[in-house]
Order: sequence, then C-alpha cells, then structure tokens
Amino acid sequence: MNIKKTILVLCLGALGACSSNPIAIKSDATVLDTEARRMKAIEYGERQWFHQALVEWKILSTIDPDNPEFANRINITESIIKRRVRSLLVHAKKTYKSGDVKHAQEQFLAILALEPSQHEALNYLRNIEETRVKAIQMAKTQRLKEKLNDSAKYDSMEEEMEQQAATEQAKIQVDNRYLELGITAFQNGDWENTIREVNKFISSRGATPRSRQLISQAHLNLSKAAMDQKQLENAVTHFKQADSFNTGTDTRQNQELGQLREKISDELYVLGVRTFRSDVAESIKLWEKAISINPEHANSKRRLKKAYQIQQNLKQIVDSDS
Amino acid sequence: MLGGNNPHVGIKSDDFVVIIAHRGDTLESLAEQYLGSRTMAWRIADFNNIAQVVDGLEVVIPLKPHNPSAVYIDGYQTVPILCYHRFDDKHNKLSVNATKFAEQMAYLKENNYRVIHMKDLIGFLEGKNDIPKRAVVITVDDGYRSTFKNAYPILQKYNFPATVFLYTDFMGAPDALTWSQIQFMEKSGLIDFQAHSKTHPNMSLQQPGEAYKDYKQRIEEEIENPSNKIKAHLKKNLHTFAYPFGDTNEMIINKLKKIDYRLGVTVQPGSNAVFSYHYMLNRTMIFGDSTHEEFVNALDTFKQVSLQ
Repeated sequence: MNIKKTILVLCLGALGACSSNPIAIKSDATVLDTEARRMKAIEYGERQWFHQALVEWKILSTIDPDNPEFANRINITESIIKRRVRSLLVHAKKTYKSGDVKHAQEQFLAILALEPSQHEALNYLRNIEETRVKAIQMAKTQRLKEKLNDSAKYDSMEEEMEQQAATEQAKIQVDNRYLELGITAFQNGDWENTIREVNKFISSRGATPRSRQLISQAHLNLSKAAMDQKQLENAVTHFKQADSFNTGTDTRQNQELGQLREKISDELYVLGVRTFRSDVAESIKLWEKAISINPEHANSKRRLKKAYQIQQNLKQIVDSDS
Repeated sequence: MLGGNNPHVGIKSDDFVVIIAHRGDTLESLAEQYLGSRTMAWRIADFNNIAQVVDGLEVVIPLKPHNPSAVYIDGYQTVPILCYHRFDDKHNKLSVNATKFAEQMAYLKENNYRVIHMKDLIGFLEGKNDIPKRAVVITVDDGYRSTFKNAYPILQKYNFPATVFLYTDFMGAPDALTWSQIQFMEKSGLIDFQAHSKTHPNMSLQQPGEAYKDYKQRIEEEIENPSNKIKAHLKKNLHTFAYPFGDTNEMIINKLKKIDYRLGVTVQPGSNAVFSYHYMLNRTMIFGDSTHEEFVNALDTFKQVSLQ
C-alpha cells in the first residue's frame, strides 16, 4: 500500500467519526508524511544509527500496523541490534579486562547507543565510574588526613578554606544556639541538658562567665538532688564540677555552694565515723574526701589526724611481727 | 479516534500515539491527555523537537521512555546539579545576591533548560525513567534564611523546583530558616528539604586519637539525627544526603544505604550521566563572584563522544 499521507486516508476511512469532530488538518504540509519518515528510517539504517532507525520504524508501524514492510523492518533492525550488542559486549569486556578502561567505557557506551536499556553495559559503566570517583575521593581524604595530622587543618587548600570561612559565621551562630538551648533547658529545670548544651558551647567557644555560671548552677542542682536521694558519690561528683565552674561572682550561687559544701562534708564525716570501727582505711578515704570538698572541715581534719596515727601504729605492729 | 473530551484523529500502539494537533492543544494538554500528567509535556517537546504545538501539526507522543539511558550515537546526556548556599549581599564567596540569582534563573528559562526535582534523578540513574534533554537540578546547602527571603520568590516565579539540604544544628540560629518557613516551602511542592548532617563536620575524617567505634557512632548521629528531625517535621521520607564539604567514604555510604537513602551529593564539579555513582554525584558550586560565563559552563547537559 502506498502510505503517503496515511492519516488523511485513515480519516477518510473513518469519515463518519471524523465528521462529528472536524479534522484539524489545515494543509498538506502538516499532514503526516509517512514516506518522508520511511526515508528517514532507511537513512538511519544506512548510517548504522540502528536505535534511531528502530524508533522510526516503530512510529511507522503505529501509523500503519498492517504494513508488512514496517513489521519486517522492525524485526530486521532488532536482530541487527541484538547481534551487534552481543559482539560489542564481548569486545568491550575484553578491553575492560585488559585494563584499557577509557576505551572499554566508549565501547559500553556504544552498546547503550544501540540498545539504551542494555543493563550489562550500564552496570560496567557504573562500576568504572564508581571506581573513578572513589579513587578521587580517597586521594582527597588522604590529603586532608595528612593536613589534619600535621595540625594544619585544611589551611593550605584554598577552596576548603573559603568554605570553612563561610561556614564559620554559621558555626558561631550554631554555638550561640547551643548556649540558648542550654538557657532554655535551665529554665525548664532540665539540668542534664543544660550541662550538655552549654558544654558544647564551651568546647567550641571557650568558657564565658555566663556559660560557667549556668553549668555550675546545673551541677549544683544535680548535686543537691543526689543528696536528697542519698546518692553521696553522685553528689560529690556534681559538687566538684559545680565548684570548678563557679565564677565566684554570683552571691546566691556562692551561698548555695557553701551550704552544700558543709552538708556533703558533714555527711562524709559521719559516714567515716560509722565505718571507723570496722574499716579504718575506708574511714580515712571518706574524711579525705570531706576535706577535698571542704578543707576547713575541722572534725574530719581532727579524726583524720588520729586515724593516720592509728594506721601508722598498726603498720609498726605488723612490721615488727614479721 | 483518540482522546477524551477533545478527540484527536490518530493512531496508537504500545509505544507511541501519533496525532494531528487541534486548535487549542498545548504540550501540557497533550501530556495530560496521553501521558497522565501535564508535567510530562517535556517528553513530547523533546521527542518532536518542538517548543509548542500548532494547529494541524503531526505530533508523536512516546508512551514509554524510548531512550532511558540518554546515550546517543554522538554522545550522552549529562545533568548538572547546581549548588548554592546563600542569597544576599554579604561579602562572602558563597553569597549570590538576589539580582544575580534572578538573572541566572532567567537565563535557564530563556534557554530552555528544564529544572527538575532531585528525586527525578533516581529513576534516570537506575536506567528506568527518561528526563528532559536539558535537565538541570538546583540545590541549596545549609538552610540560610535568605533561601526563603530571596531565592524562593524567584524560584516560584519560574516554577523551578529546588532541593535544600539542612544541617539541623544550624536551625534556630538568627540566619537560619525556621521550621515554619521550611514547612511553608515544602508544602508548595517546589522546594524539597533533605539532610546535610547535624553539625556540618567533614564526615570523611576520623579525628586523630578518635577510636573507630566512636567515629562510627559520631557519623551515625550526623546522619540519623537530621534525618529524623526532617522526617518528623515534614512527615516524609528522605532520598538524598549532601555531604558537608562534599566528602564521604565507604562507611558513610553504607550507612546511607542502610537507611534507604538513594542518592548522595558531593561538591566535585561536573555533570552526571546515567552511569554516575548514585552516592557520589557531582555538583557544581555557584559562587557570588562566578561570572556569567562560568555559570553557563556549569550547565553542561551533553557530553560529545562519537560512538559510531
């Protein structure tokens, strides 16, 4: 069948249907010219652009599905593509195995140009690319590590410096945000999170009076809570932290610290007295701890002096026996 | 006869619909009618090499991606991913001012680049879906407030989608986007928010003296914390992670794979082909002092190679 202007023919054939929906064809120039498309498909085939040829034959077969030439051309083109892909794949794999990655890459690409969904070729190309980009990254990381180990963090790499500088402003904002989060946690009575957030600020920006005051008060409150729960060891740990961060400028905090200092050292002292008869060494540890917290704790000092003496005497007795 | 309310004269096979266009047809209306979505108009435009539909024109509509890998006899398609940071007049290399950004977006529009969503790359890189011929992806790192104030109105004007990578410890800082701004932009469907770590460290570096176990734990926190926060605020799954400073390693990538991330982006300049490694995609930084020529060079959408 001569298939020039197929649509027009089809439309005339379906005149009844067309008449209720007038055809929007204005002139011959805009009518489907299947012969021109057929010539294009043949030309593609001659130039060995088989995928493009196949697409054109498929369009033609859509336009005129009963035309045996189009179905035949599709079969022939598909078969050529299949044969070429098979042969190219063997060749490309061989090139790849020989280590000539650049040429192998081109050969795998040529396969995709013939058959765009050829997964084996695509996977080879992916592997080649993955290896390439990972090697670039590894070399970069190695350079960065060397710089880091030399304590010259990125500083000779201009690009990274620029990025760092740009993010530095953001970093300051983030650090300030940590302090804000610490303040919010403090206002909510969440002492652990106060310590965590403020510590982040301090580790990056260094301690400021405000951050020290906050963290000291949070530890102080945790120490008090531990005392209430009879967790003496915990109370001591937090008290020492509170004491170390205390700036000495907050009168109320000083007062609270002073009171807690007395309370903990008294508690340690009493515990030492209770333990003394059964375990002198343990009592000594407790009184030493009391003094480490409160160097002015007179009772602990007095008891400790005597305990050292007793320990010394015991040692002499043991030594003379042996 | 094909079509619904406005039937066309034409023919259909498994692969194609061939029609003669009516008065009033547009690429979008044909895409809606035959491909199910107006957003697929580009497929008709690209296949027929037309910018618009005119009355009486023969139009071939591919019903399936006919070349999903986009490899041709003379080369292959590549997709540039542009990487911006902030949009203001700060004297900072990473600040592109609003006027310059508007000019760059206008250039994309006038020169028929098609800005696609980052997630559209997933199907393309898997060899399943086709994408527009001059596809470009726009990304913005960190989550500066100027993204909302200066870039978003321009992106809206051109209906250009963009992906913003957030590092979540920055959220709440005076210069950072707020969650309500983020939710507002996400809701528009134009802006997609993805993760960029918690504290913006160079994740590829194990610190001197840091035990591997501690390093691994730190990295997991850098990935999981922002992912969970974004998921919780935006009620969606995440698909792409942007490595701070563009650096990554095997451990980071394995972690991303484990929690279903599909793509990872670096700042290695260049475009991406169908065979690019999903977890180390190239991105080209656009700087405040980038010239127009440099910007145009970044828009590399085709790599010429003779594959005859």
